[in-house]
Amino acid sequence: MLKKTLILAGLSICIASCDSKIKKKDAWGIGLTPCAARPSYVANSPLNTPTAALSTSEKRIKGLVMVDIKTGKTWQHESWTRFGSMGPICTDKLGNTFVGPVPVINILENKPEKQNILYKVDGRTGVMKPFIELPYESLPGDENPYGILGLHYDCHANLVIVSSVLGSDRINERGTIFIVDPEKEVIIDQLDNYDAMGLSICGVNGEKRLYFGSSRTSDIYSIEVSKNHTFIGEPRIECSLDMLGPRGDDKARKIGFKQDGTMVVKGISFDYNLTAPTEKLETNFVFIYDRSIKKWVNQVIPIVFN
Amino acid sequence: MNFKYFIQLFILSFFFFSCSEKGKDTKKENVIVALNNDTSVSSAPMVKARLSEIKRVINSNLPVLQFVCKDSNESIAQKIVINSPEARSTYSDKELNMNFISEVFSISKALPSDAPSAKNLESIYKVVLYNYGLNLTSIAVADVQNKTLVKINYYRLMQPDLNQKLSILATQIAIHSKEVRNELGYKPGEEEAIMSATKTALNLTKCERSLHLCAAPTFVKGEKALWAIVDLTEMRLVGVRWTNVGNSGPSERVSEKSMRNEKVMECNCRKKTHLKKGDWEMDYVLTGSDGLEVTDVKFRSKPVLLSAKLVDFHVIYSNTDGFGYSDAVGCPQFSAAAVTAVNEAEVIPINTSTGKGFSLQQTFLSEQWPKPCNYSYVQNFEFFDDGSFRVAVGSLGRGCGNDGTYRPVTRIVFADQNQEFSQYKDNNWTTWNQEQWNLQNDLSTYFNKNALYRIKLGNGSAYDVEPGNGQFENNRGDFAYTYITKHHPELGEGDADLPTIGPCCNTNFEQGPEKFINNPAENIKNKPLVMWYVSQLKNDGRKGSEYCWAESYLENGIYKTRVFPCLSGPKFIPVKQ
Repeated sequence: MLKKTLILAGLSICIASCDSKIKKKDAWGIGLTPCAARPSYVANSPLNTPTAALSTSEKRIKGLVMVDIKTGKTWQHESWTRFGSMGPICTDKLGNTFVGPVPVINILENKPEKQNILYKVDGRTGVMKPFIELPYESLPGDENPYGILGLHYDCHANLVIVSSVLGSDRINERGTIFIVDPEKEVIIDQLDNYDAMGLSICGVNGEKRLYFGSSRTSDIYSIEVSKNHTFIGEPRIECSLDMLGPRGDDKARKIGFKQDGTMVVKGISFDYNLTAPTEKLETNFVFIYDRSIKKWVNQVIPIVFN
Repeated sequence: MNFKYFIQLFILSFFFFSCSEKGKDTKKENVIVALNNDTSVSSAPMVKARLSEIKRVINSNLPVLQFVCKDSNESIAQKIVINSPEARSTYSDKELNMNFISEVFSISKALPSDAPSAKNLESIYKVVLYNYGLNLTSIAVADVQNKTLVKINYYRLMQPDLNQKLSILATQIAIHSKEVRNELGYKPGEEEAIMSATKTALNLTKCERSLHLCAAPTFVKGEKALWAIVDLTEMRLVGVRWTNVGNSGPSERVSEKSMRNEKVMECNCRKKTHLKKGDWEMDYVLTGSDGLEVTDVKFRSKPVLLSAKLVDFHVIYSNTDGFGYSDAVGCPQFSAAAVTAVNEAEVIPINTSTGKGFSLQQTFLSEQWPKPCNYSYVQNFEFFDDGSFRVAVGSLGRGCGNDGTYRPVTRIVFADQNQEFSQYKDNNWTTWNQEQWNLQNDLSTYFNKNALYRIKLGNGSAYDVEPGNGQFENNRGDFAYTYITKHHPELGEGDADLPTIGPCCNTNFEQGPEKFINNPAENIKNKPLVMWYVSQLKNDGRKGSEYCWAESYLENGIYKTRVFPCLSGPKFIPVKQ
């Protein structure tokens, strides 16, 4: 009797979750084509060029900055320096940009309790304002100056995915990944107890999945995302940067997918302490999905010596 | 309730206690790590022979350790590759005009994937060449019949699999190290390093910080395995760590950085160590962002200091307005420090003409030091047999340019309640009645040549305070701001870890401690005091007069670091009653 009840319960869970699963044929192309629109304020800025891009990692420039990658010229809206140093950026299909704060070198202008505020730059005006403050269970302690570490815009469903490690410490992994509806300005779902940095949505294996790089280990996980924009099931490990690259212990800072389904991971050294911008030694890793074994396989690329 | 139930309940309550906090508990077992801080090469006989071989080839026009070939074809393939202009272009540092040391790791018959366009693979060989100086692997394909180089690919910051010779070398270095002998309790035989000659083991470690070629010979003893991390670039042991073996071998990877971090985090970070040496006694702890802190310092059982620590390190570059950094120093993980400890604090004997005693030294590094815009700082607490002591801090370079000024912020809290602080001025001691600051400059006058201040403690002892004025080794004068504030343990003015308190680029007294001078300034006569000391150290990168500087140079084909420290900080000399 008990066994039957369990099977029935399992079946009903399957019906509920399977129903909300995105179909294989619809999933394949998810995440393979960028959709970020050019913000309309750029046309009125001094850097109205096709090579202008937003950056948060220019040396000697605090906050968000627009850089002409061809000439090196920079421009900032006056609101872009108000909230301290910034880190992850993503832009939606309307040209609105979302930015997360990240302390650089010190916390003078990035107070730990303010590191869970996601900022939005209006695509029409260029004004940066606090967009949403993400909830946290534990107050930030002196073991971890970070909050938001990862940000991704899901072109497929118009969602902003944000990860925060605020409140995590050496012993406790208290990070959360949030799915945010940018129009309604509400959190739709969250995955607790995972410290994550690089985030990206992709459907290359036939399921819409959120890929995320752990900020504690070199592992890259994924979890399925439903039609209703909620997480399905538990995260699983997809691949790892362990022993790869010059350092061998990189964490996935950024994850992206090319149109051919190749996963490109930018790995950095990260130990939950502060680093100078010059220290950001980044290595690119390439993984290809091998459908025969259903695994992501690392590809090593030679360099040109000069 | 009998004893058994009591134990079960206790365990249950402990479980609830440890599970009460939300979040995954990632706590690890206690680690047993021994680091080797001696940077000289191993004493293993193989190392001696290899060093001679390196010295023989390093200044030649072919600075390559060659592979011992099995046949003439391998020999021809080796010649083609190492003499090719493509390989030769990697052999030297053009700026320093010196050679790197390279080595041929392997020669084998090419596989179809190595030379897809080759019609006959019989005469095609693959040669793997590694450059230790550049950490560069070159994989070349040579046609021994036509005597041509088919192709060469370069892999920067990548290391090939070790050959048998290097595996044996790694094992030899491990078994000749005192750390391995001490941990095992005997000198192991070569065959006990079960993993060093296998591919699995060779892939099991990295030296993440140095980016050197490293291997991990492993010695199994009962249920545990001792991992020896060997740096084959410098031919020395980095350290050892015990792991549990389990059924399928050690479960976690041991590497240079993980081992160092574990050691420092487990044993030093936020954990006090008691030190008793000579007539001195104290505790010390590595803080999250205030460097190494010494607490409860006593001399001949008499309290001297409650605490001394390094709060901030400011650096500004004069050629670029407002450009610089404000660094905190501390634990290597989970901290607000930007420049972190990679080793434990060391106790070093002092035996000089100016005094005998010991120093407690802690160094901090940023990941890529000594490359430009990376930093290394040092704290040096010196304690002398005559009761004098110095709270010194310094820079080991290298920074972003030779126009930098370092301003370390030190906080010193004296023991006992009723203290009095005076300054030597116009041939007299003038007592400071209120919180204030003073700049040591060219107009400063000194008592007995070097003392600018005097502090009297409530227990009757008094110290003359000598700022650096060129009288100490590696010091060209401190030009220090000294602030005296009333000690307020209840106000969070630095008794706990302080975040960065001041910006990088103020060139006046506004370095952070001025925030603790109340408005109006508090009366400080016969009150508990805090001394803040901010020295100003101008770096120099000119040849022959380097100061607060570091540079890389090539020795035997690999990069080494030469440091030119600057060390500042006041010395406290007991006033004879």
